[in-house]
Amino acid sequence: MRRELAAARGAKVRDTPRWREAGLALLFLAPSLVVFAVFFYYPFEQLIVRGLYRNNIAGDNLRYVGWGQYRDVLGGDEFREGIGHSVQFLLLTVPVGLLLGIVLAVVANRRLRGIKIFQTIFTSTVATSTAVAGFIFLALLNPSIGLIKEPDLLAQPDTAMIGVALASSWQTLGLSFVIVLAGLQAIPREVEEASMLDGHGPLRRFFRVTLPLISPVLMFLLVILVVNAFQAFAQIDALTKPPGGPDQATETIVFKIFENRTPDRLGDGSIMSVGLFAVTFVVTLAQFLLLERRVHYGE
Amino acid sequence: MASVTFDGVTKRYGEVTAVDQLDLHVEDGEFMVLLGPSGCGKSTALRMVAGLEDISGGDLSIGDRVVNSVVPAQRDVAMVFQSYALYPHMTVARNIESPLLSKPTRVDDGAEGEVRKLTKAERQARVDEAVRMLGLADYVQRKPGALSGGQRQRVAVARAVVSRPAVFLMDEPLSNLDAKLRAQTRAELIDLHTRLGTTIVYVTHDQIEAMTMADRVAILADGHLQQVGTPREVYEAPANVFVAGFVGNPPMNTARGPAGGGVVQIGASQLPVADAPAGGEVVVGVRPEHLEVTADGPLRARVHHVEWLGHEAQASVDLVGGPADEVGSPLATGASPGRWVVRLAPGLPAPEPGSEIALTPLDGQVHLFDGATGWRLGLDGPPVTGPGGIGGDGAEPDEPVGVGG
Repeated sequence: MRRELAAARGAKVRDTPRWREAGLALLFLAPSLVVFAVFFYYPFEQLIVRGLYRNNIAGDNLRYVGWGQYRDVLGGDEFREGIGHSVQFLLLTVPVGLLLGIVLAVVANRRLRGIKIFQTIFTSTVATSTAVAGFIFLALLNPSIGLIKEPDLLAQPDTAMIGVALASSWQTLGLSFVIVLAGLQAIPREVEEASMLDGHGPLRRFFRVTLPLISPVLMFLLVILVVNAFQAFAQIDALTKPPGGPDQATETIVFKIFENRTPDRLGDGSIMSVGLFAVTFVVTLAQFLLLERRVHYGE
Repeated sequence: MASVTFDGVTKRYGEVTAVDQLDLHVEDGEFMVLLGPSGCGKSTALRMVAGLEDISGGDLSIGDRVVNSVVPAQRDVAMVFQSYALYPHMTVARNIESPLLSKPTRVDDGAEGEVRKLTKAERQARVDEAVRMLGLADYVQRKPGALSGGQRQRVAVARAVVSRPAVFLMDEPLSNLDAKLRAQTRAELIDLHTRLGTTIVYVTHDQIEAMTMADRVAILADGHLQQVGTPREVYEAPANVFVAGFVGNPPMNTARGPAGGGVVQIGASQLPVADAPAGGEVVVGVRPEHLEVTADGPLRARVHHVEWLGHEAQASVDLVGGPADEVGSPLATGASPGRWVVRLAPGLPAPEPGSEIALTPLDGQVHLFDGATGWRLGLDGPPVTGPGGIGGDGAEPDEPVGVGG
């Protein structure tokens, strides 16, 4: 009776107890929680624990060495060198990828006859496997038959990373292009026309209207490119001889982790993996914190 | 301020002609509404004035200047878009200031007609003025996403007025507002036009907007101009069957039939019409409010249903004998053939559905159109009258003819 009276007066009546709502929420979340637990949380926990142990070469004689091993590996030269090379690779690929992606997308975002052909061509590198991209650039940078014979980029420790970055930038160009193009095509045509009527020249229109309107897309692209750069491995493996060379000049952090896969160094490799996760996490977080205010998410 | 002149302006997209040989002169300071159904070419015509569409043929002038190849920013026009097209990342103040940043603007204090870039203080003064005029003072620091539809619409108008252009172009600016706000904003736009006196070219498919706001209405269909005149002229003397069927809600009743001997045969009825041609087929048009239910009226009809609208009632009736339908007419209205609407006098009992009634058109309120071309008898093309309803370049429309006998 009191319930009906309360309802009649417009008061809120809670039909479902709170614990039951929480239970229902958990039930709905369960499928993704299970998948995450099996494929992410558990392996990640195992990775952290691995870093506390040391094996012999045969993979047995497991013994606990504690958090000191983390201090040794993360403070060691190998990890620092790997991260250094990864950052170098990132600086060589991400700005170029972003810039070229924007330029090509702006060029291809015209209402011209046959523009779809160019859009398809620019996008095609997305469908190219890393091995194929590696092969193409091995040929292009070949000192005897290549397009760029001098200098032999991949042969010199100083320039090998540039050669690898070239191939990688080319391969990710399709992704950058297609993402930026999608952003450009989402800009309402009338907003661009209003800008034309307001007398904005092409540059002003680009920087004051277009760029702010595609900023969420650019933010997304930046995060993806940075994460991809930190995870670079296959393209380096395909292009360099010996892999990661010359003189370990292209050994990025994932390369170092890969080299630490033998049973006796599994602890080190695990710690480097955790370290890479932490670095990527911090860099991504920093991107959000620093750039979020400059991103316009619209309405 | 400036006039706008379309001189044989044509716009083609490949094989499709969106606007065909448009001749139209919008007087300096006039409020001209381009009215027509979707796809009639009205928005294309407006966009050609703005410079957002190339012109395939003819000359388009703003004032004395042919602007066919002048870029949008240099045409001295401002546009209010249907979607408002505000910059979502800028505040209201920045949106309104936007046209003043890049292009030279007309100034008050210089020589008459002086146009130059404004200083920061001048820009601020202009923005303040526009904000006051449109009642946006409380929202200047908000972004468009935090505004209601009506507020966004006012920001779009403020952005248009701030640069004091020679011509305002408005592309269905009220279509995203609800009915109540639309009525209110209509009044505000009329008021704005009175205050500023700027030429306005306004596109809409809504005849209420056209009838209430326009000095003159230009009606388009299929890229062709049908009639230009004051709202009253196009309502009272539609130039053809299309205009008769498009202007007015409910539209003019029309029926086709052979004429001769002072009468037009409509289904089983013979409607006496003074000045009816001696022979040939005509389309007869009578507005719903110009039909009376009488005991011995010449038109016999069976009541289909009666709609009560509060202030009046309307009866849908089927003419007895079923007149020839309008399919095949080059300017067919799409109204259901043979079914007419009659506005019933308030206070009188409504007829029962299924009953037969007799109708008499009011004296002088029967319109006659050529059965083959659809044009009003005596016309063979769109009549154009000046803003005051007098003069003009085209043929004058005939007065509605009287009911004879």
